[in-house]
Amino acid sequence: MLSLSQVHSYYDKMEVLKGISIDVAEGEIVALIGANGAGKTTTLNAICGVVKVGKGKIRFLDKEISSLPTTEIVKLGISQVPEGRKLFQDMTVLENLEMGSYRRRDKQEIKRDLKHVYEIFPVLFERKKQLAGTLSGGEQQMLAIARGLMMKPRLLLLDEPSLGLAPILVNQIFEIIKKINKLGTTILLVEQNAHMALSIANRGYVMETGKVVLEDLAFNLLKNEMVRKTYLGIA
Amino acid sequence: MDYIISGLTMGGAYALIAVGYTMVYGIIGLINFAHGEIYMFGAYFVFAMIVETSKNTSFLISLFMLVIFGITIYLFLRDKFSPLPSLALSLVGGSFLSGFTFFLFLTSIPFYLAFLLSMIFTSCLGMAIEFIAYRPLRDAPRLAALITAIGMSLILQNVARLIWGARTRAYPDQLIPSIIKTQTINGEFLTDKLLSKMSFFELLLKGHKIRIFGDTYISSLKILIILLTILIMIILHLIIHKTKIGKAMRACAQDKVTASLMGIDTDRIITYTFAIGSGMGAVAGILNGLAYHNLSPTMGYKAGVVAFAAAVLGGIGNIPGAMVGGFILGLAQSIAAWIGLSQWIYGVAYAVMILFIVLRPTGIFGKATAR
Repeated sequence: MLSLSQVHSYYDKMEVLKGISIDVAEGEIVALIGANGAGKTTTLNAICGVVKVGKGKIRFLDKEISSLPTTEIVKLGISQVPEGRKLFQDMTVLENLEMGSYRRRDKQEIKRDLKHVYEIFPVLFERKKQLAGTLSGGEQQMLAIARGLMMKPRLLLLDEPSLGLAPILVNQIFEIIKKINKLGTTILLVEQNAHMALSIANRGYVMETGKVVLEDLAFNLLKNEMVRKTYLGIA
Repeated sequence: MDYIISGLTMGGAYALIAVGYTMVYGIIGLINFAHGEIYMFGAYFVFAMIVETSKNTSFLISLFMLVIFGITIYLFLRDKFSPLPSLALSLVGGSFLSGFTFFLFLTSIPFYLAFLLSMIFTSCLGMAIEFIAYRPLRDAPRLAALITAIGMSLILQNVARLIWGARTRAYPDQLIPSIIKTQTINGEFLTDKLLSKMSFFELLLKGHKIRIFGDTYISSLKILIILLTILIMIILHLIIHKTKIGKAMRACAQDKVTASLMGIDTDRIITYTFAIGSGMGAVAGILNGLAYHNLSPTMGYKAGVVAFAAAVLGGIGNIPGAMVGGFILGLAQSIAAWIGLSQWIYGVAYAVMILFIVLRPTGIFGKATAR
């Protein structure tokens, strides 16, 4: 479905992605793990066209997308839930969700999806008139994911959904991610919480300083010596 | 009382301009110094359309319009077609439209029509300015964009001077519909008897001075200006809070990258912001022309600076703040005139602004945010 081959990206002159190749097949949950500054977020931004791709190719649904503007890429069905939520703080919950469906014209479907999203996140329905900035951290993360879902994406890119959340909420969020995937959305998940990410993913990639150093089934990665040592803190 | 009313009238115009400043600042973080000139052109376009302009002058204006229309059409076509065909199409479309405006300027057309067309022309002017002057500098340092804005302001001022000359113009009385014509103080007053028989609204539409109480009369024009200002602000509020484009504007103002991740075409939204702000600037210019019989190429600069102060007063980037700021400065100026400082009204406006910056740096409605 999505395939990056030898993608290089630069901030000014600094090479942040040093030729990474990642594949995501339809229906999968793929985890992308690694330490701070490994280039995980940049990878997502390169897919969405927020960061320019210097060299290499990104294909989505057999279409070359590495030189398309962000709005076109989004139209093809990729939606990103950015790191740190990035909600529109001064807009209400409902307005944030409406921004998610900004590109869509199918009014009936949007209504149905909105109902559906409220079913997954009942708390958002209770707070739909509230300003997004006044929600708690967990609610904000839910809203960010809900907003991403309102775009009705084929592929959902999740950037650090567990960041800054209490452990009980982390479990809840990951349950929801699994549910969304079961309902037919392919997911590329970037996480520092490697254990959680790998426990729900089908496959995983480990990134270090702009390169993919390891790729395997999530199940195998959880058992991998190096992964256990570096990212799971288990000797 | 008279001073309060003229303060509110003036304040309404300032508020309309200030909203233009604040909207643009909110969305791209740039003080659009050419906004005062947009206001000035709004007033002049009406002037050119309601009076019979000479062939040479009409041709000059149409040439200017060709540039404006051409750029505006190109701006919208470039997304759909490749550069060359859209350039050709915009040349053809621009020529056609500006040829049409040539006749509009040459002849005399009804005031209301001129009012509407002027708003449209001015919106195009705003969009064109954004496209040629600010968009290439979107990622440039702020100072560069600021200097460009000042340059744009000077260019437009001199274009106006080239077309209409430096002397002061006024809308000819006989071409303004009687509804919004001011009666002179020595003009015919209605007797108390007649007044009591007519409804307030009738009086408003007859264009007479309306007696409020005692010896206080207000021209219906001023009341109309205030009402119209308020009406436009309500419409603006509805656009921003209820329509999809308005919501997208707010989203872009808060976070452009995330907005583009939602599939919002941020450049297009910025274009719309300029169009709306400029249209409102035009309304302010025309109303001002009606109220004070005074059009000059520098009118935009004068009003623009005060309106900018109003936008700062209300907390720049904040739309209700800009409206309130406009009214406060208008009132401050007319109170200054009332206590005998009529030479000092601009000084008073700045003094109020400075006072506010010292006492409340974020403006009336501004939020304290760390940058």
